[in-house]
This record gives sequence, C-alpha cells and structure tokens, in this order.
Amino acid sequence: MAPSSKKHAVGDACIIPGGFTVLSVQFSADSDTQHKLYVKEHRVRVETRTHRPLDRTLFVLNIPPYCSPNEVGEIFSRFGHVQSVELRDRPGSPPLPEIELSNFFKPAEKQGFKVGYVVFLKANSIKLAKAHPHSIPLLVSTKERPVSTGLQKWAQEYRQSIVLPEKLQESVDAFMLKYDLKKEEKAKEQEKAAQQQKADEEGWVTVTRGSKGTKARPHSEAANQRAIQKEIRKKKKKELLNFYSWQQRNTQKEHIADLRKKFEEDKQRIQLLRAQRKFRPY
Amino acid sequence: MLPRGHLQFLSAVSSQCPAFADGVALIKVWLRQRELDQGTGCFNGFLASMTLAYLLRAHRVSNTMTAYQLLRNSLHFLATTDLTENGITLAKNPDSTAPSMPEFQKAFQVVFVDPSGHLNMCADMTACTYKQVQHEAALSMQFWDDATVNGFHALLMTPKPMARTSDHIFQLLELVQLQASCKKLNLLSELMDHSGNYVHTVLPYLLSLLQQGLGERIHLLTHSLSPDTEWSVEAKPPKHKAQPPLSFGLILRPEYAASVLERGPPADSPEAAAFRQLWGPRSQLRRFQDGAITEAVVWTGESISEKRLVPRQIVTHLLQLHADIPESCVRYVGSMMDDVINVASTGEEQSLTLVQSYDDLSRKLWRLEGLPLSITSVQGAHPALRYTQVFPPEPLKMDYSFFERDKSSRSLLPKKGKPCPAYITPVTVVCHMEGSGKWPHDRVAVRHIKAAFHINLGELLNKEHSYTCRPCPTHLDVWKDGFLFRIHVAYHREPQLLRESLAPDGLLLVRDNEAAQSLELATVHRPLLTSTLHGLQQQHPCFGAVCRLAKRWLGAQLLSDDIREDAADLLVASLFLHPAPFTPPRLTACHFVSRAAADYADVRNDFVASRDSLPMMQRTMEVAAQSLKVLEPHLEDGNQTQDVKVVLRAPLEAYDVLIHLIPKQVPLINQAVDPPIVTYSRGTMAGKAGSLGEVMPVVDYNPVSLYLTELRDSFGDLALFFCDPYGGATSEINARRVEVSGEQAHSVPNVQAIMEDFRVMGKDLVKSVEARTEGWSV
Repeated sequence: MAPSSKKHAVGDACIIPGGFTVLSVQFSADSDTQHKLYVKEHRVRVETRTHRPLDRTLFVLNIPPYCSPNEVGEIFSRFGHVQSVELRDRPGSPPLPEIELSNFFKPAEKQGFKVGYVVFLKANSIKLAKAHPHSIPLLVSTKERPVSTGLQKWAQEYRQSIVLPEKLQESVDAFMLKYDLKKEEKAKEQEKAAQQQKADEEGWVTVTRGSKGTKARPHSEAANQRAIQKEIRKKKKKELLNFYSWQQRNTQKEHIADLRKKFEEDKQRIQLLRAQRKFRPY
Repeated sequence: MLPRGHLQFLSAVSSQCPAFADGVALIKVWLRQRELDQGTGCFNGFLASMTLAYLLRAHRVSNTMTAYQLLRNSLHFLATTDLTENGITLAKNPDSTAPSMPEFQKAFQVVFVDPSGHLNMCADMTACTYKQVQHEAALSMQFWDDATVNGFHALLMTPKPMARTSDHIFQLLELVQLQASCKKLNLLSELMDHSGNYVHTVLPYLLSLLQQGLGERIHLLTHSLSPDTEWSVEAKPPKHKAQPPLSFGLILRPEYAASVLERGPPADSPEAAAFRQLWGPRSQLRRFQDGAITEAVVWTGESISEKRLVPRQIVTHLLQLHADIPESCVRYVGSMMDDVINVASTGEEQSLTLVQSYDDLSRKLWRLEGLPLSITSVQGAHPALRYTQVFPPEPLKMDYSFFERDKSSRSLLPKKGKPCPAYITPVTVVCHMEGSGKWPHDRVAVRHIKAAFHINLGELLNKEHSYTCRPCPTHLDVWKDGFLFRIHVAYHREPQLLRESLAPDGLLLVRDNEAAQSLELATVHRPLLTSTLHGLQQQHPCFGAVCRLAKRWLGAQLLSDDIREDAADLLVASLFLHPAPFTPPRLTACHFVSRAAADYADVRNDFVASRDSLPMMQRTMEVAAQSLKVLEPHLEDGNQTQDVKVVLRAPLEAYDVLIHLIPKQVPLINQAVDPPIVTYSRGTMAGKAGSLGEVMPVVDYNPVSLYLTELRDSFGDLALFFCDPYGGATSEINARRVEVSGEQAHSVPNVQAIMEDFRVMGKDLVKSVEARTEGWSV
C-alpha cells in the first residue's frame, strides 16, 4: 500500500504520520514497481522478552510475501550487522509454548504481508536505516543471492515436507520426555502444596502467600457457576419477605391480580377451543 | 346437438355444487403445470369438469364440499381408477341404439362416455397419456400427505415440463417417415379413420410396441401431445409433417433398466415365437447357468454409463425393425453431459476399484497387531469413497526417469524443467484409536502421540504388507494399488481438549473455537457424511453421477469455493430425498443438472437468509437459472447451434484481473471443459499399477492450488480469487475496491506493485497477467 502523502525531495528520508519512515523495496533490479516498507524503532511500554532489546530493534511493516527471515536479514544488513529477524502475521508477541517445539510440529505459518522485528548488533544501525533515502530502493533478489519464487519454491517446499521417520520419531521422543518431566514436576508441586495445607504433628498449618499452590486441581466454570447460585439461594432464604404489614398487603394484591389475569386467559383459551371444535371431515 | 347437451349438463351440476367452478379451476391449474391440458388427445379442462361431474353424480363427493376437497377427491379418483381397463359412463339410461361398454372398450384405449351414451370423450387419448395422468395423480397424493414438503407449492406452483420429469427422452425428427411406418404396420384402414393424419394413426401402435419392448425396464412411457393446429380460412391446412417433432419420455426402473440381457421364454414354449417376432434377428437361443435354454437378447454395454443407454439401443432397434424408422431420425437425449465428467473413462468403475482397494486397506488395518492401542474404527472421509468425486483418482504407475529421486526417504521429487507431474489425490481415511488413560491431557502432546502412531502404523503396514508408507506429523501416506491413502489417526477427546483452556487463576474454561470445530468436522462429521451418502448411492445408483455433474458445474462457474464439496453433495442428496413434485432421478441424464440447478435455486432461498455470503448465493441462483434456460431448449430441440458445454464456460467479463497460466504446469489441464490439443507427459506409464515395494511418488502437489493459497493469504483482504479446480488454466480476480480513509492518511492499493507480485509469486506458472482496468476507480 502506498501512502498518498506529499512528495518528498529526492534523497530525503520520507516520514509519514505515525512516525514511520518509508523505505522502498523492489523484487529485483529489473522489476519496475516498488513496495513500501514502513520502519520505526521498536517501542513498547513493557518488553518482557529479552530477544527484542528496545534500543536495537527495528519494527518493520508490510514485508512482501516472498521474503523469508533470511532475506529480510540480508536486505537490512546494509545498515549494520543483523543479529536476528523475527517475522509475524501481526504485531505483538504470542505466548511462548511451555516446551520448545521441533520444526515438524510448529503451526504452519500464513504466507502474506508480514510485520518484522529486526534486531541489530549496534544501536546506530537503526538511525542509518531511518535515514535511508526513499528514492533508492532496496533489492530483495540479486544475482549473488537469488530468491526463489513460484514453481521453484513450491518444489523446494515439497522436498522439505518429506520427513524421515527416524527424525520424526526422535523429535517426538524428545518432546514426550520433556513433557513427562514437566508433568512430574507439576505433580510434585501440587503434592507439596497439599502437604502444606495439612496440620503437622503439633497441629500447625503453614499459611503462605499467593494462590498458586492452593488449588489442588483446576476448577471448572460450571462448578464456579454452581457455587454462585448456591450463594444466591442462601441469601434469599435469609431474606424476610412477609415481615411488615405493607409487604403482606402487597403480596396479597399481586396474588389476586395474578388470579384475575389467569381467569381471563383461560376464558380466551376455551373460546378458541370451541371455535376449533367444528366438524370437519378433512 | 351434443355440445349443447354437455353445456346444459355441466351447468346443471355446477348450480347444485357451489364449489364446482373453483374445484375445476384447481384441477385445470394442476393439469397445466404438468403440461397435460394442451394438444390432441390431452386431458383438457372439459374432461376435468366432466370427471368432477361424474364424481358428483356417483356420490363419490358431496355437493357441500369445498374446492380443496373436490381437488383431493378427484386426484384420488384419477390415481385409483384405470379408465383403460374399466371405462366409466355418465349416461344414466342410454337408449337402445347406444353401444355397450364392452364395445367401447374394444374400440378405444380410454373410455369415458358422455351423458348421451353415444360419445367417448377420451377417444383421442392414448393409454400412455392416461397412465401419465394416473402416475401424476398418485405422486401428488403421496407428497400431499408428507408433512415435510410444502405441498401447495409442489402441487400447484411448480411447472413440470417433460424434460425435467423423465429420465430419458427421445424425439422422432422426420415425421414423414411415419407414413412409411403406416404401410409397414398395415394401418391403411386406420389411416382413413384419422382422415390421413398418419402421426395420430401410428402413435398408439408405436407406443404399444415400445411398451412391449421396454417391458419391465420402465415405469412409465410418456409422449408429447401434438398441438391442435389452426390456420386461416384462405390458407391451405398445414401439412402433417410440419408438426414439431414427437418427443417420448421414459421414467425408468433402476433395478432393471440397465441390464444388458433380455431373457425371453423357453425355446419350446408357444410364447417363443412372439418373442422372436418382436426382436427379430437380435433374438438368440442361449443356454443359461441354471440349465434353461431360452430365447434371449443381449445388448452391448461395458461400463456403467454405457449400460445406462441400453434403453436407447432397444428403442432404435424396435423402431427400425417394426416401423421402418431409421436410427438417424431418432434423437436420443440421455447422456449429453456425460462426457464432461468422463475424461479418460466413465469414472464410476474407477470409484468402484478405489472403494475395493480402500476396503482391503481397512481390513488390513483392523488386523494389524502390535499397536499399543487398538483401532476402534476406520472410516473413509473423501468424496471418492462416496462416489461423488468429480474425477475419481485412477490407479497410476510412475515413470521413474521423469523424476528426481531422493534416496534417503525413498521418494520421488518433481524435476526441474519437466512438466508438472500428474496430480495424485490423497484419499482421506480417518482411523480412530481406542481411548485410554495413557493419552496425555494436553493438546500439543496429543499431536506428538498421533505422530508416533503414524510412524508405528507405517512401519507395521510396511513390514506385513510391504506397502510404501510415509509418515508425517499430521498424517500417514500409504501408496497402495496405484492410489494414495492418507490416514489420519484421531483421538475422540481431542476436540474437547482444544476447547479447554486454563485461565491464569486456575479456572478451567470451555470455549468453542475454530480449531476444534474443523477437527470435529474432519474426524467426526465428514466420515459420517461419507458413509451416509455411500448408503444413498446404493439406494439410487445415479446419485454419484448427478453429484459429479453438479460439482463440475459449480467448479466451472467458479463457485466451488463458496459452495464446498460437502455442501454440494448434501444439496444433491436433498434433491433425491425430497424430490416432490418430481420422482427421484433414476438414471442420470443431463436434465438432472438442470433440475438440480432449478432446485438449487429453491433450496437456496431458504439458505439465503442465514448465510453471510449473501452476494455469492444470489449469484449462484442467478447463474443456475440462466444455465437452466440454456439447457432446456437443448433437450427439447436438436437444432441448437451452441453445444451443451456452454453452461460450463464461465463468462470472464466480470473480473478485474485475469491470470493466465502455462498449461504445461497445470497438472489437471486434461480435465478442463475445453482441454488443449497438446498433451504433456506427466510421468505416468501404462501398465498394471500397484506392484509392491514401489518408491513413494510425488503426491498432492498441485502448483495451481499452492499459488491460489499463497495469493489468498497475501491479498485476501483486497481481492477475491476464483479458479476452476477441474483443470482451470486461468484464475480470475475480482478486486474488492478498498478505500480506507483514516484521519490523515488515505491509503489505496498499490495496484501496479500487486500485479507485479502476481507475476513474481507465480514464476514459471504464470503466462501473463491481464488487467482489465477500464472500470477501475483506484
């Protein structure tokens, strides 16, 4: 997508609203159209991950579908040494899986325009990248390192999709080992927590801070719902309904109104039934 | 004299019964929708009023009944009374000069005598026409009582022309030929009775001949009624041969219609002579396995679709033999569309071999020993296993020199520079494993365990039956008999696991999500659907073929991404299960597509309200209606200039960008509606497929679909992509015009760059990208 903002002088960095710098990128030297990359230093309020250091990470939008992390690294290496590249469908960071997955079991990635986090070795590479003039396009595929697309790429992908059973078995075994270990650990923790709840020989119970250990097993939504219902019922029982005389009067009034209404409805229903009781052979 | 008598009679009756006029009008509408009230020898409105009058006279209905009751009673009467056997009369006490009932019965096929006792009002009607009326009435009574059908609509509102009613249709084109048949059949005196109208003279004889010949194969034989001609006083009356061609319709019995053998009486019985006389030189003496020696006729027919055309052989043979009507004058409509789903061969046999191969595999899976958990069910989940795959996979034998070989994994790889290898369809099989406490309670772990099962299954199959297997994390590919089976191991609690999630405070949440739904669809619903539809196919032998035609049509109209295969199958199934007011299609013929199309429109009316893809639905209905409009004249008239395939060519005007592909790299190009003249070698060899110990071929590798997914992933929010899955060589793009107006930035698609991307992403596959920018507003 191209911004229809004001034109900039040749040789200038082009900055659009939002603080993004526009870099143009084209597939190869002989292609005549360009895509725009929008870059900006990575800035979030709280960065929990260590692999996206705030001062050295460049946030890139609109990376064309034919660029793999390797190629993005190559493109940005002209501004300085690139430490790592991470491509995602949308900005943000997904939760990490508990156990590191092998390549076979990673969920398939969508192809398409992506956002990227490019981590440089040095902080001043970001400044260089942001100062890069808009009119000089970056090249994705050059003679030295051609990027395969189309048929060639699909054939490659097909080749990679073939998995050797031994390797697959290996990765499954490795995962299951880790999984079992983790499970055991959890079980131990729970046991420990349960132990703590019990009174020791002298009748003392250790009370600790935090809710993590207290729940022996996950409680379900339905159980929660039931508990709440129970509370409400209890409360209702305690309430005094016909205590004051005006309360009693009111209930009586309502009762009579109810009876009247019901009587009217019944009358109408009987009329309807009568109307339907005519003789009809079919 | 008589007309006035009739008028007085009818007015007398109608004055007594207040609802008479309304009742007659209803019957007339009913007749009109079934095209029974026009032409010579029809069941016209006059006859309808006379029938009602008869019922009133005979006290079968009372004067106080409503129009609804009158209609119901008359249909019941028509359905149960056979006027060809027992005629009825309105005459109370006929004078002595009037002929008696047996005399009428002898002279006419259908007898309904008027009040005077002298006139048979059904004199022109053939027995077949009356039988048709009876059949329709019986059918109407049937679905009238069915609570699941909108009876009113089916009864009185749906037109039911012949083309949509009968299973097979044929036409006699040159009616002059019938003159010769008159001579051949010795009908000169009858010709005089009909004042030289040879068409009417011959018709009853032809009909009885065909009825005799087709015998048990047909349920009903119908014929079109020639119109009553009108001409101006000065002009000469039109010639008899100027009439439109006579059409005959057959409603077949599926059990017998396709049998190639006509077994006659034993050779020494007196009926043998009659049999020989009927069939002429085709009749042969044959000895059968049970020891009987009988006269028999054997028709040719190898494949199922050829066998379906046995009635055609019978019709042409009989007409030629007895009526001197040459084969060139008979235009038989029964399989016009078949060639669009039969590319190399008819497809039905292939499905059969595939199903046999699958049955064998499932038996072997059941018997496997040494698995940690036992298998609880093996179910097919692929259209080919329910006979509804448009082009069922064929057993293939690979030519190894065509591919690159990967030694370590013993499999073939596509070679650079060669045309794309033949597409091998993976046939999905779902294999449920026994539940056990040992299954982990974690979705990722379950996936790993499933992968382990795939490896294990593959090893066992390889060891015991030496099939080539290739396990993957998500499935196991088994190459067997030249087919590829893709086995998915399933665990019945996995969808539930996917729905559960743990909130940070330890609360167990159960939320439905897309992953769980799609898994449930693949492992539970689709196998169920497959086995159910397989059953339907056993009940209605042509269900599969109709499905394949319908899906082919959807694909060709580029609609198959909006109406998925399962949905299309279900729609056709609903057509078979709720056919009212038609009968369920017995043997496929092209008109079922048209009928399907029409009914699609109906069915969709209900869908439209609830679907979110409303515009697509409306488009489908529109296209269906148009296709029907094109197809019906084809069935009725042989002189159409366009060929039938025109309904399978989608117009390309509406699309903004066309991407033309290189035919060499489109593996399914041979299935296209108009396949190219050049054919490419796709790495297959002739010869018997399925020797053991083969190398794993290139499977499920279709650059076109890969390209499409890539395009949809990248530009799905900007444009819609269409492609015919059955051999389409162009993909069409309908750019959704996007205009995002933010506060300051105003973004428009970078069209030039995107078109360049189309080219880059489909390198070596895309021939050209054609933009139709005239109507663009970007």
